[in-house]
Amino acid sequence: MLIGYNWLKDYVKVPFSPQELADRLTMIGLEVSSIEVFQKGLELCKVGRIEVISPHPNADRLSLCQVDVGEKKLSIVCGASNIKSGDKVPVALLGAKPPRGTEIKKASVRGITSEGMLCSEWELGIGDDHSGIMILPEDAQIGMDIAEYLKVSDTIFEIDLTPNRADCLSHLGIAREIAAMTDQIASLPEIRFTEEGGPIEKMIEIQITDPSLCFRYAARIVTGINIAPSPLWLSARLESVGIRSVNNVVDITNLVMMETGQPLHAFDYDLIQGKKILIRPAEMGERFKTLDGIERSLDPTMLMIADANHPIAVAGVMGGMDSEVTEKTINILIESALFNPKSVRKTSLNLGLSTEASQRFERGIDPDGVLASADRATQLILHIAGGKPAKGSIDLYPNPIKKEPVRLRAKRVNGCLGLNISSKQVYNILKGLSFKPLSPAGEDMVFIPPSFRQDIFGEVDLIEEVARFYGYDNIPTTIPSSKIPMGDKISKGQNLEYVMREILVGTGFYEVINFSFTKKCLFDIINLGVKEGHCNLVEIKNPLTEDHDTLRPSVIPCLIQSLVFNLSHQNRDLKLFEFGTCFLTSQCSETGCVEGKSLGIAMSGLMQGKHWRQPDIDMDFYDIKGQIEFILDSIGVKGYLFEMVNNHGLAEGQSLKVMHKGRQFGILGRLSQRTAVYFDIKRPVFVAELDFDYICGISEYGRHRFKAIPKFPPVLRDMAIVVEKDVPFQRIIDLIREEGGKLLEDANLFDLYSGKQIPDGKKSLAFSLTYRSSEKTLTDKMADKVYQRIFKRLKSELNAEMRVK
Amino acid sequence: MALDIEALRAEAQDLIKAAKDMDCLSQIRIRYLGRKGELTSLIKNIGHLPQEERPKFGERLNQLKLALTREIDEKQEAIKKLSAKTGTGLDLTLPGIRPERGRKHPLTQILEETYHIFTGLGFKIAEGPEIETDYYNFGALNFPDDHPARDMHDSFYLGTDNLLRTHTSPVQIRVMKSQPPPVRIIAPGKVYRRDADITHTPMFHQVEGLLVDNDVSFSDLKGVLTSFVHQMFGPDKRLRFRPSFFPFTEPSAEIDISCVMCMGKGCRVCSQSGWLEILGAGMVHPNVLNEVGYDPEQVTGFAFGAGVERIAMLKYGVDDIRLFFENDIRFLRQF
Repeated sequence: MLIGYNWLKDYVKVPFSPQELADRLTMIGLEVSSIEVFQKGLELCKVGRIEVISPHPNADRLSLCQVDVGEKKLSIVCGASNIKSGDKVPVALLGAKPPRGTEIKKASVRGITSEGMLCSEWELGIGDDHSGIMILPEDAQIGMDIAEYLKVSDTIFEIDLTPNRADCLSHLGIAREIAAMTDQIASLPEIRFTEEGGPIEKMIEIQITDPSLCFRYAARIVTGINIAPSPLWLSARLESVGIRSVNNVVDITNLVMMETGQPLHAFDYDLIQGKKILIRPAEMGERFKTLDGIERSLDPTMLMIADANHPIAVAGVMGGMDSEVTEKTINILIESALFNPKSVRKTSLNLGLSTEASQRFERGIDPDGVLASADRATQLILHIAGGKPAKGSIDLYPNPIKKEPVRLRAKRVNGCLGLNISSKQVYNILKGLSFKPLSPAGEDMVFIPPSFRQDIFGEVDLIEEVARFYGYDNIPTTIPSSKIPMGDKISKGQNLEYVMREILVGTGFYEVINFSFTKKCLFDIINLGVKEGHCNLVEIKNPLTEDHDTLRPSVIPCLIQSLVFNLSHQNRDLKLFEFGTCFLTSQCSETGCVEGKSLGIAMSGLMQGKHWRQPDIDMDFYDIKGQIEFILDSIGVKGYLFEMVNNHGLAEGQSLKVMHKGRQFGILGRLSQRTAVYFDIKRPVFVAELDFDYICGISEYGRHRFKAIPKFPPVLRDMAIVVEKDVPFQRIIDLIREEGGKLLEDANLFDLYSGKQIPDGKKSLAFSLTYRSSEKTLTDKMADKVYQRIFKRLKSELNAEMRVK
Repeated sequence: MALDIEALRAEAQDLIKAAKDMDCLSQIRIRYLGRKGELTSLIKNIGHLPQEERPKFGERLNQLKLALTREIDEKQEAIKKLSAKTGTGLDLTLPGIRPERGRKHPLTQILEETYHIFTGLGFKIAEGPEIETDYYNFGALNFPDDHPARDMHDSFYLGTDNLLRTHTSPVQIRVMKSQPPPVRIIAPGKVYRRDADITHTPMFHQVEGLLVDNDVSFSDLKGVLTSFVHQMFGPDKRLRFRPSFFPFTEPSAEIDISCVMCMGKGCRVCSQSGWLEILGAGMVHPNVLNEVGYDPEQVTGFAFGAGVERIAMLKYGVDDIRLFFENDIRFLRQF
């Protein structure tokens, strides 16, 4: 909403500078987002005085003027003959762009430099006379902006109105707020004119078919007007708030709308057929050409203004071409109405047409201002375009809107705001805002809201008004005395997420955050979704782009995209993770979807950044497996197992699922060739995904139980065996543990080798074994016994041999 | 003369400190302590002094000589130790082996800081679903039926009645419906709006807060948010509460802080106003309290909400919101 600072002064005294006013409006909830000076294109045009005028040395028809423009004196070449020294004239300075004409630049005219231009009325856009320079009266002040001198300049505020303040979509509305803060009453200039014409009832018949769609309809008729371009002040005012000037009558209807907030429409009276106006819904398939020249197809959801034969306007939205006011118009009918806001909104939406008028109707206008606005427009038309007003006005208002009284308890005001102000102060604030008290100031008060406020329904609305004008800044700052509810402030899951992040970051991982939606086809390539029992993807009905049409069931595809983004920017060694919500359809939820949190991991490149001490080690399968083991062990997840898995997104033979009590809660592995090709990745990538919600249920993080530190020393033994290559490690370690029994405290693989010295098809594994008894000091002999037992078992079951050094 | 000594001392010490190798050091030694050195010549000049000043001056010169000798010796040792051939055979100038650490996402860092601040103020962290029904996202929050946010144009719909939540406010409703007052929660999380440009991404993060109890007032809201802003942005930040409008609060406020870039003087970031909008807030609307079965005559409350990206952008000086979701390591590494 654009509001002119000087314009406001027509309705209220403004005892503030523009900046001050902007600050004050902002602090009562009318946020001024910008302040700009409007000069109607007359920037850098000043009042100047010709001090000396002399003939141009090189041209007979030109003269050379020394002009005083206040801060400096300029030398200007001029071709006009109507000037003499001592004249005050409009001067366009260098850089000015007068409304008619081009930008003024320093120029040499026949060898003499000219530092500006003396202007005619035509160049300034204020008249058609370009026969000579405009001579200003003697009292014009040298150096003054021409725009200011002509009273066409203003300071324009852009106000970001909140949707509840429809009453402030006008200068009068803003003026009322200024009045309330300065103890004044804002009002329109006095409206007075003589109704010289015949009675209006004889000239037009108006009928509302459905009073629930049109609450009030007022009209005036003016005959014998003279349509012409608007005077300068009028077109300047409209332009200053972004409205194009059309002609005097149309401009006046727009001016009054910007003044009072009431949209008006002027019809060419002679084009209203049958001298009858009907406010009715459109008929199915009816066609109508709006003022913008577009022919539109109508349907019964749209409310129309029609004459005896066909529609002449879309109610509250836009008028029609066929009844438009043109230069041929002599008699006009001015419409001022109050349409049902919902009906206008629907009409505007269905037509795809939003106008200054429709926006105001949708948000609600002042029912009591309808006729006054028609009168105000009539007055201005008589003044500017002449004519005779018909006697009387039409004002159909079948069911007058009454404001309900609203109760206000002073105690509630103070309680809600944390104040201790008197009921008298509360009373005065509301009275100043035009709320009509039905009771004296006191503990329990009743007010009737003013007709222009559509946003006041209950006590809390009044409290807000008091707060606005008491000033939010004047409300004290306190610490709540209310009870702090018992219980943990952070849930187990939130804490676990924090701990897992710490672990990942501590081991070199970077956290990424991706959008929750991506393109559906990605999940044909790779879908590691680890939620059990659901399978369908959740699709967005109205995605912004195809790339965002599906809610992800797994974080991995997005994580791979993050990885690809980094690879393409030469970021090579990457360890990424993401905690994200994943979505799938479900029959048994309110919304038809289930969501849960997943942890995704993706890594590629060197395990550790290049360094002088160690050779480069590329990440491999064991890094992602180890990472998952490390995380799970660190957060007290016990009893998990890895099992082989087939997932087409992952490389066969390089992927595992993570199981707990027969249920899968994770997956890990190397990206399959196909996936890598799809994402155009040339190097190995390893990914894993864990069902965070499931982990939360089984994690024993923080539940540590102390175990006595062993009293007796351990015995350490290494064992190196050679077995067939295809014997899995798990098999060997299981046997070692089983046979080692209670005395075997730990068995750790420290070497794995095949090659020279080892027969073909075989591999060597070396374990360090720790034996310990909790009851006594183990002797070497006892340890050796266990050692032998283990080896015997390995030999008999796996055909293992002791490795000979 | 006394000044000469001090100047000489300072000059010599600077040179010693800057010396990088043995050659350089031995030149310094010659320049000051050599037979024709500067210190030596001062000592020779001692005869020009009045008799009574000589002993004192002499002693000071002597001290300086000892000090410089010691410092040069020490530096010599240090240089020796650092050069490759030390006793242990290690080149101590090689870079150390640093453990590698990753980073939490900057938005996570802001969120964790927010949790820290609000849990300290007695708030519990509450969570809710990202797919919501129209009722929880709008209806229960006093949005009128024809509110533009309910439009297909502004929100992502999954079915006629289900949508991706447009704010974390539905969590308020869910929490209040599940327990009697008092309530003190913050609700962080992802939210979704159909918007994409330099300052908008279709997904972003919000933190909402809610406090409902007997006798909760607007002044308490000011207190809690002032505490938050001072902890998040520093105690030198000024706050400005100005009236605004949200369907689910009344009175409503928008909260500005003095610009973090220009300290309130006016700059490009704050559009010359000196203020930056950082939070929306207000007293919980009685319609909302009624909706969840609380009695607005018995309890009052306040709610507030802030965009996490916005906080991060202002706190870290990030100028494009899209950077948060590109996940470029070179970006993430900076936090």
